[in-house]
Amino acid sequence: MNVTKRPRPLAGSELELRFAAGKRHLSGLWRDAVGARAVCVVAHGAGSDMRNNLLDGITLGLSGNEVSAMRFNFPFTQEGRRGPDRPPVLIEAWRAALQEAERRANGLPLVASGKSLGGRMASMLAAEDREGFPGSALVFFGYPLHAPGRTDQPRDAHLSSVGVPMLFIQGTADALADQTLMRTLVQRLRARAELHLVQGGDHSFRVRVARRPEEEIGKELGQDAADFIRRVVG
Amino acid sequence: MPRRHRSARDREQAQESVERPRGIAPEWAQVDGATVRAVSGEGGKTYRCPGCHQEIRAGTPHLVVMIDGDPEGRRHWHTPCWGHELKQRRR
Repeated sequence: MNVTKRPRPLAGSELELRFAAGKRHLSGLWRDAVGARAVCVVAHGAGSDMRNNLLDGITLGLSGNEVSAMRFNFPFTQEGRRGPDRPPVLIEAWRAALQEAERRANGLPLVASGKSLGGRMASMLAAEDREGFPGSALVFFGYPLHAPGRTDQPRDAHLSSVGVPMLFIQGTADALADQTLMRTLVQRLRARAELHLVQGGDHSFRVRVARRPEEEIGKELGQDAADFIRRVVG
Repeated sequence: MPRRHRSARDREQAQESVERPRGIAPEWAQVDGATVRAVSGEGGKTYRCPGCHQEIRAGTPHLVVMIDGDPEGRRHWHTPCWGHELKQRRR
C-alpha cells in the first residue's frame, strides 16, 4: 500500500481501520488531532468493546489537546464474546495495535493507554519487552490493582519492571483499586509514576450523585491524559 | 454441542465438590477482567444464562460472573456455557 496516498480523515471524524494480530483481524478507530504532538493508543476494558461512550470521550479529550488517538478491539469483543481472552492473546493484540499505530504516526511518539484490563495488559507488554516496547509512556484509566475485596493479592509485581513514565487516573471509590494501596504503589514507583484522582469516581469514573454523561467524563480524562503526555513526551 | 457421557460427568462433578471449597470456581473458569464464583444453585431461583439464553433451573450448580466495568453487573452462567465463552474461535 502506498502510505503517502492514504486519505486523511476530516478533523473531528474517525477513520475506521483494520489490522492483523496473529491470525486474526482486529478493528480500530483513528482520531487525528490538529497539531498532533503524540499518538495515544487506547484499549477498552473487559466490560465493553472499543465503541462505548467513555472511550468516545477519552479519544475526543485527547484529540482536542494535540494527541491523536487510536482505539481498537481485543479478539474477544471483535468476535462478540463476553469472556475476556487470556493475557497472551491480549498482549499479542496490543503488540499488533502498537505496530499499526507506529505505521500511521509519521514518527510521532507513541503512548499506550487503556481502561482497566486494557491498560494492565499494556503495562504487562511494557514490562515483558522493556527494550523493544515502542511506547514512550503509559496511561491507565482505572488500573485494576486487585479483584474486588482482594487487597491481599495486588497485581503490581510487574510494574517495577516498566521503564517508561506512567499516569494512573483512578476514581477514589474504585472497588478494584484501594486508595491506600494505590498511593503506596505510586510512591514505590517514584518518579516514573503519577497519580491523578477522580473524587468519588467508581471503576468507570461515575460519581454517584453527579450522574454526568460518560462521554463528558471521558473527555475530561482524555484532557488530563493529554496534559501528561505533552509534558512527558511532547 | 455434542452430549458427553452423563455418568462420567456426574462423577467428576461430585468429586470436585468434595475437594474444592465452596464458592471458588475451577481454575479454567477464572480469567483476568472478571470475578467468577461457583454457586450450588440451591437458592431456589431460576436464571437465564447469557450464553445459551436458556434457563438455569433451581438446584443446578453454575457460575456467577462479574465482568469488571460491565454495566450489566452480575450474570449467572451455565458452567459449560462460560467455558465456551472463554474459548477462542478457531480460524
